[in-house]
Amino acid sequence: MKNFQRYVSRFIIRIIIPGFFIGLFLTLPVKALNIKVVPAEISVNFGYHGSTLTVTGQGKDLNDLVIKVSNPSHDVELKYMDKVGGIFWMKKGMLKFLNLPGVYMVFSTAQLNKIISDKTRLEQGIGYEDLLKSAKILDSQGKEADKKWLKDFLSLKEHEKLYIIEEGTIKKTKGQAEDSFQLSFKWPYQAAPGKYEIKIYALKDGNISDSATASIQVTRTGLVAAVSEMARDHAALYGLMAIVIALAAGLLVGVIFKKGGEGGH
Amino acid sequence: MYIYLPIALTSVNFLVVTGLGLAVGLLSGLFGVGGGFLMTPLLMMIGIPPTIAAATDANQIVAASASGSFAHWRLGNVDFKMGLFLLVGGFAGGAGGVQLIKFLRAQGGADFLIKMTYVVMLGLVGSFMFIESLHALRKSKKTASQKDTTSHVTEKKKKGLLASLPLQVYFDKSKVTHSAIIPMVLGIFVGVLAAVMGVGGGFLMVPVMIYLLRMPMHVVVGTSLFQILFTCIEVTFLQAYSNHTVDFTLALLLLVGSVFGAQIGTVLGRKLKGDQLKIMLAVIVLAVTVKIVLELVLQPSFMLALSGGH
Repeated sequence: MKNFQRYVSRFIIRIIIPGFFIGLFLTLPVKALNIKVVPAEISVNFGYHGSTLTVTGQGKDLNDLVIKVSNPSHDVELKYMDKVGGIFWMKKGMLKFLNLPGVYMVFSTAQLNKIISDKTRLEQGIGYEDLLKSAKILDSQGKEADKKWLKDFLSLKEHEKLYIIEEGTIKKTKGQAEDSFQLSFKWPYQAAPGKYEIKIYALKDGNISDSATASIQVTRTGLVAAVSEMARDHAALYGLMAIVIALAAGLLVGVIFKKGGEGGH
Repeated sequence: MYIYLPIALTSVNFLVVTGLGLAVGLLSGLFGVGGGFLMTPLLMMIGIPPTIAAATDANQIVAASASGSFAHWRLGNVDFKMGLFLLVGGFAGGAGGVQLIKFLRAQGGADFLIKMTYVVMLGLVGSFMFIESLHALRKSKKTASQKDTTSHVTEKKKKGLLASLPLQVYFDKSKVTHSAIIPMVLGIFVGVLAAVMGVGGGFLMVPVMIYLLRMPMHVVVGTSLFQILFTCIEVTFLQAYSNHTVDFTLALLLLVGSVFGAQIGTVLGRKLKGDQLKIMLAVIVLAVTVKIVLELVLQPSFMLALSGGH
């Protein structure tokens, strides 16, 4: 009897339990779409002038694709220009733009309005129209300001290369088992250090059939990190250092020129 | 070759920035101006945020004016006594000006006042210097003896009122006698304007020394640089400490160009006549005035802008 109980418990431990987990794993939906971003970390060092990001990945029966790059939304304060006395253009007052990302880029395989339904676009916040719907503008008194400023906000951000919409830039390649995609784009040096999300949407009949997410980290390193930390954490020392080095440089060149002048006589 | 600026959070071309430093340093050595009224708008044009452009500019002027002051001191062109009186007034005026601009910003409409001060002051100074120098250049073609007699008579008339003031001091380097109150009051006036306009005040101090204090041109340049050096040391420290807006990397790049520019300017200045120097400075000041007027009346390309600056 004892032997029978031993056999049953061994059967449960060695066969049933592992079998259950193997079965569970096999029944889980297979992640068809994957995404990889190179480089995943961008070092902002002394010679930094932006970077080039390459997004690649594979998926089964890929139709149209959309890639969205953004960071968490935050509030931005900007001054607005207006005419004073009907003649002079001046920075007149402050506007606070609420709930907008610092970086917002959308890339796709084709024209957005042809590959994605309005409902999905709105749900996922793809495209400027939908992004701006959730935005709010307040004036210096805290009252809601005219939405017309959002257009100017977009112009400024596009000029800074922080907001981009580029349609037809993702390249797809058909494969035997899986299709692959590739996108290369310039990462602007104007983008502040921080974490950015890169999300790919696979689309079918205007709706999302699959999605995958990757992220990149932009970090200050080396001398850039040291200088910015010193300016923030040891402001007095930083100010004194800036003065002393400027004085020393000015006087050193003065002495060099003096020596040069003496040599000439 | 690009360099990333840790405080401005932007990337700039090394050659463009050092080139700007060289050009403005050249003006500094030539005319005794810090170049703030030129450098700050130029930095903004290459994408530096306004507040950082203004603060960093003060830092690089420390280097340029130290280099220029040293060169002029060697040539015996610095009137330390006069510089000290101007500096005392300038510090007091600068502190008062900072408070004035704080008050105006709180009330709103400070930007309008700043812009209009720029246009009026630059326009007046530039036009006056231009006309006066042109007049002097034309006069110099006539006989020298005739000119000397006329200027002597005018000088005596103008000195009448100023000579009646107390605390008369002889400034041996400038070879003029003034009441100590005059340079201090002028220093306060320039200090207030400099704080309101966010510049070192050299372009205002130079005409003040030439036309009101009647100092010789070569001493004016050296003394102005000496005064600017201390004003900008104060501004750099305050900006770095209170606002964290001094980009030391950018200042280093600018000063690489400006310290050499200041030396070249000093040497070049010795080869030019005083009136030629004045007319050149007048043209530059008027050109900046025209640029500001155009900015004021033409519709800007962007209706939104970062806060700070002018």
